[in-house]
Amino acid sequence: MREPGRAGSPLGGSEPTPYVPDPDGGLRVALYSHDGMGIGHVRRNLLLAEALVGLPERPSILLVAGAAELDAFPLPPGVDVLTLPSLRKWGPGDYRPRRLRVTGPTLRALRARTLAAALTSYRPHVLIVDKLPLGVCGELEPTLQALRHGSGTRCVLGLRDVLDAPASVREEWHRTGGEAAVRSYYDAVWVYGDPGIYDVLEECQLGPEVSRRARFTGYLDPSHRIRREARSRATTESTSDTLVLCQVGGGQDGGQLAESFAAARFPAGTQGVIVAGPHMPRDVRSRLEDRADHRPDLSVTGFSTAPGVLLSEADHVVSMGGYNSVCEILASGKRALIVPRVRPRSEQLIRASRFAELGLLDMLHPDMASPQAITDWLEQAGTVGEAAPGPNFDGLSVVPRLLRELTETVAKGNGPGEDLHAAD
Amino acid sequence: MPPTDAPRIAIFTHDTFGLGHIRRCTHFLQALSEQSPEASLLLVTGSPAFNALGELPPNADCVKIPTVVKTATRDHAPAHLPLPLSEITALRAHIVRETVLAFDPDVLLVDNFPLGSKDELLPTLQALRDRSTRTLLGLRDVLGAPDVVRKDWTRQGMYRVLDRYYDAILVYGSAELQDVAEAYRLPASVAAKIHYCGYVTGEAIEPASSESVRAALGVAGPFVLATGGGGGDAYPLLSTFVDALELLPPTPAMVVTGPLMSTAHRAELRDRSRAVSHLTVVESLPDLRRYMAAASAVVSMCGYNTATEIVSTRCPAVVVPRTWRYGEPLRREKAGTEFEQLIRARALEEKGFIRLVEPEDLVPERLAAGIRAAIADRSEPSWEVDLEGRANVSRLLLEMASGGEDLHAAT
Repeated sequence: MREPGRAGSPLGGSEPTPYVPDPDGGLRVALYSHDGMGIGHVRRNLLLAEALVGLPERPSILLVAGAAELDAFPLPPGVDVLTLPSLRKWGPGDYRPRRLRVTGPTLRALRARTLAAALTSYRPHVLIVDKLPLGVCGELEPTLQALRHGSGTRCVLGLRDVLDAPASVREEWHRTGGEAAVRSYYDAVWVYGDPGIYDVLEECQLGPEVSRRARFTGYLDPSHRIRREARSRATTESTSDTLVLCQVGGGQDGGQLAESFAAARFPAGTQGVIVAGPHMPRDVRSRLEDRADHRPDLSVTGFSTAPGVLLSEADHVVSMGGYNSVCEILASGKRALIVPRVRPRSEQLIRASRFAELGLLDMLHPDMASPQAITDWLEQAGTVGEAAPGPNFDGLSVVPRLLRELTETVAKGNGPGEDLHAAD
Repeated sequence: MPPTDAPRIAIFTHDTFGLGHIRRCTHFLQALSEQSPEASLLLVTGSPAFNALGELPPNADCVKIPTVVKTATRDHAPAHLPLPLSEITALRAHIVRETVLAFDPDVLLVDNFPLGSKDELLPTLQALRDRSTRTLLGLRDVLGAPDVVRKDWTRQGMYRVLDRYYDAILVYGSAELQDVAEAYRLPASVAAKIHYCGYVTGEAIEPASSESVRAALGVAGPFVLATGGGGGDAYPLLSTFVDALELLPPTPAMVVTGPLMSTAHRAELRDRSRAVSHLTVVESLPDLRRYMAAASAVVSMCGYNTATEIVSTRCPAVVVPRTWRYGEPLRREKAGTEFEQLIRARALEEKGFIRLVEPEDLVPERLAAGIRAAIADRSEPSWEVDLEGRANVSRLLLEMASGGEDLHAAT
């Protein structure tokens, strides 16, 4: 009972006065990502957070995400999290409670209210929203309205390199009022990609409101994280064996690839390691483990919050094609076979195809990814020569610069809603 | 579609030092889920130790709010925002109130701190006065030295908080060990709200002989176990334990540092274990209670969870309660709750459950003597302890959620 320590009666006051930030106080940043499927959004936001804490202003960074995805990731100093009760994606636009036994509308109302409470109290100078301009099912809109009218927060929409097949993106963008949301609430749109690889603005025609606010930042280079993770862990016994890694991201839908990999024949002197994602179904995981029990050259390891360790030791990688996985593979320079997810979105397929066309990786459609096909790829993986130069990987140095530009316009007194890009 | 009358229960636990509070709340959520799989269970906490949704039952979720207490976890610096404490407190207060009001629980259980940190729960409790939500305060068996608690509560206006904002007070303990109403001089209106629920422990483990537990664990022969609980401040004890081993006949020994021990301290213990062939140092043991049940003697501090595990496994225990904090001794007048462990340990010693080594006697010789005596002693504790706290608390929460319990009747 030691902790509640303020002297005097707690019954003295009524409502606490709302928190108003000191205008000269430190820089506050919030990053929102939605959950429902996979762990990619939050991993990307964690990379951004790490890059931003390095700014000389020593900003305070609040990550907001669903509880299911923020599980167990270590946080850099200066960063804290707010988790929201988790959602699961059932289909396009259909998100339902993952754990709580309440109705969808009840949970959405709860999340919207927690978000508004947190962000209107925190009053970030900059809010970076991952992918959905209004959040899942529009849960962010009350917050955006309040921030725009109340605190001059600069809002940024962050988009990954590839969203989905252009027709689907346009349909969804239209249905959810994406362009109107960007016009009403956003100062900037950052695309964490390289237009030389894929130009999402061009391909998807997101509209002039988006184009005039948009900047390509370059891909977010995870090398630093990979090196740190590799240093932080005792390395496995190094052997002369070739190490081939099979990774399936979160694992929610990576079972088929993992099982094909487990059934493939490995070249002599090759060890295969499957990294089961945190969301891999239990029955798939135990089938893989059974298989590994009968194969001396195969093992299965639990999802690690430091995937860089294994990646840095691997010789070749068989992987799904999520944003983070592909960036990690390209940054590590390992030869990789990407077997992309093709539904419900074509995002991974498009990404993998573009990089494959540049010769930066190999790609196999999941319908073709039989054990034999993987066996064949492994046979020749060691013989491939140098790949073409990689994409622009400057994202993590560009984003802090863009963020500072945004806050400087605040300091100069531009009110919210003023067009930052008029002079561009 | 879930039934709309399924219970909704929220638990708030403040992010204190160590793992005890979060672990206890996890036990409640597990029991609630078993008793009511249709319930919606929401944990609200700032604990940085909590990052494992996997430990929660399938119908529980978590709102993790920004952390105020700096607790080093594993190899990472504490996650927290570089903001003034007043700003983080205001932020937390606002998030908790809005989240609880939106969740609209039938019952809110507040763990151990009636107002959380820095009165942050006051806006929530005030808002709930106009709602049908029942507000429950859960208290550990022992909060601290009674005179210090009384003084703090008077100064902080806590008696009025208990009177005005809480419908019931659940004590995770027994009146026989400490009578809460008497110790803290609760007014009759508050004392009438108390329900003693018994000690809270994990799921019951099968009683078994030490030999069979050893066999199942793959541990050969007698061994001595030292556990540091969460481990955040266990280094003085565990390091003395390693010294004490040299004074004992060679017996296999195991040290469990706990996940919150600093990397440097853990590395030092590991280094020392390389020089002692019969010593093993591990960070944590998923089966710790089984190891405790099988050990010839257990050396530990006396936090609530460790004490409960000692009582439930009936292992011969040598206990050195914490009266230090972050490696520094505390002055008596500032130490309030730091004497919690000492008070608990004295009561347990009186009941014959443990051997107490006073904190100022923490030297290898005394500890070795205690271990020798514990191994030799075959006497049985004299007291039947209510260990059903986990089930009792969750049953009470569910009864209150359905409005079926008269909250103001004294038990």
